Amino acid sequence: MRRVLKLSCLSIMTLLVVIPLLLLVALSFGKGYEFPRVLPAELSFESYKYLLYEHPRMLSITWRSIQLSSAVATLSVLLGMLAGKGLSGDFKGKKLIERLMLLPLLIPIVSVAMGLHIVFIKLHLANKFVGVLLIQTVIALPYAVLIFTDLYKLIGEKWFEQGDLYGAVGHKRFMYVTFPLLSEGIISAFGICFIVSFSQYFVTVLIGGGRIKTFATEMFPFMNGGDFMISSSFSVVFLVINVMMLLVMEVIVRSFVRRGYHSIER
Amino acid sequence: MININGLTCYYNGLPMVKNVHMTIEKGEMVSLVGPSGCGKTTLLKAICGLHEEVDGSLVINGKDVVTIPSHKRSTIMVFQEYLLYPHLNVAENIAFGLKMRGMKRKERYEKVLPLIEKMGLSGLEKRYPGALSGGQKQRVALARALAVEPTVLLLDEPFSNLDERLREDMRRFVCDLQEELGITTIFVTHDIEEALMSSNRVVVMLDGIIQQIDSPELLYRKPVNRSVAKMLGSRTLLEGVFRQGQFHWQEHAVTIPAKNHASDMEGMACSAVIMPDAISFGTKEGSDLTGRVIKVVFGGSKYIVMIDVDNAHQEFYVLPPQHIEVGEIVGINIDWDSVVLVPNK
Repeated sequence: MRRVLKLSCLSIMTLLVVIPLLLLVALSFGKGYEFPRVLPAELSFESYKYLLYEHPRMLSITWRSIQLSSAVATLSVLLGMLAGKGLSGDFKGKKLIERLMLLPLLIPIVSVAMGLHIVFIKLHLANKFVGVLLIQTVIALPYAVLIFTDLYKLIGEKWFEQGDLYGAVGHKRFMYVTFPLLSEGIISAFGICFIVSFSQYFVTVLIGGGRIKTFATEMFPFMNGGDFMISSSFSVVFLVINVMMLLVMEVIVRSFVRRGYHSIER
Repeated sequence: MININGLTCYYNGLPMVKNVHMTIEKGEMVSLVGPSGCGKTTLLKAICGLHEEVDGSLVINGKDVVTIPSHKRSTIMVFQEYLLYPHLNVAENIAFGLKMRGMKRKERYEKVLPLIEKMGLSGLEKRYPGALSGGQKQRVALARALAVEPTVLLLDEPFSNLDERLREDMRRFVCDLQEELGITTIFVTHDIEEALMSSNRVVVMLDGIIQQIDSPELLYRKPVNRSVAKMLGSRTLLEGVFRQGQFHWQEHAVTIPAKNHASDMEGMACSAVIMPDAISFGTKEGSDLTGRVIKVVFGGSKYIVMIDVDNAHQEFYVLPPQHIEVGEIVGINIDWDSVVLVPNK
């Protein structure tokens, strides 16, 4: 029974994830690709050449997008940690606050963005980098909140209490107990929030007013235009950036956990 | 020395541990025993400062510590789940408290290494908690606690996650260590046998109230009330009334030696506590009681026999071997001189 279940999961994953990904890579390198051929008729690096050398400002836009999404993910992780800590306990009105925090996940993003757009115009945040950063954080934050609430519930109070007894209070508590215990969650939350931010097209165009260009805002017109080769190469680069960011974050967090313990040697 | 006076612990305004009065001498090993949820761990947490909703006074070595934060009390609690930090190896886990106190790396390891040896953890210094057995984790948790040289060591169900054999080994190890170091220790357990074997004194707690504080032997022989006797287990309890110097149970009345009951029990609802070795079965003739055997359960060191005596079902704890069958009419002989009477509260 377990074997059948395992095989079914593997088959579904292959069908829904692996095959489309391989197809995507093939499409990005294939000139004149036609379904159902497995490999493209002609191998070509044209699409990547276009992205790297011919597209005006593509590298700077990508770099800017990475900065924006990293900032969104970092902000979401920090706020998510605080909210998660608060929501993991029991208090009056917890359900209400929990639902409010998760609202962007439950109602259409168009409604959230349209409403906030008016607010942002009044606050002079529209058409600005910081406005896009904030709207993307609103969208990404619920994912971080969910991860940290569950993680805090799972960890419980005992680890922190144990730390308290040994003197891990204040910043020491954060550095030597909280951060290491939450490290897996920090990596996951950062990864998810980064992907959510990096993929935002509509809200970026709406709040950024077309002035703030990101990887997604550059990618979508090619997809709409039906240029499979370029949009596939965009997708591959998109995937590579996200995987790399996840790996970078993992290295940073793990080294912080290890170094954190060995750093203060008085 | 720990002096607890009228300590009450609240949870959301409701008293969970009520009016505790207790003195623990320096170097004493005291076990706190009671069923799950009776407030043992809450009391332990109140002593080390992790439970702050308290009333009353708690004096450790002459200093009232109720308002002092947990990390300044010199009390360390070892939790049931060991709680070894997964990102630190054995040596780092043991040195954790010393590091938090700002001790230099070299000094830390000078202190930790002998402890590692003492705890039988040599060779495991670099291992992470995930690669340790339950017993090894327990030793690391203990070493971490001992490294900071606490005045009071609090152990919360320290052996409950270990299997039977390891549990016995660890119990002996902890008792020997406690004796050697002379550290004042309070340990919580719900296993009465463990409590009796490990401590100088046993504190019995039920529903947040301390019922009895006595030496293991005295507690075992003379429980103060029916609830404590019931918790001690493996003994027959006959529920009756004490009138005119006699214990009345159903139609029967027997005289209990004055030393085995309190002087003010006249008219009181009480229970006769009968140890398994004070009961024997025989023929109907000349027996104290007779009844029909309904059920016989073999429990290793004892038999639990359900007998219908005068249309009332009563459980008797007796020693093996027993050769009785269900449905048999048996005579029950009780050595009333060894029976202790306790109030039914």
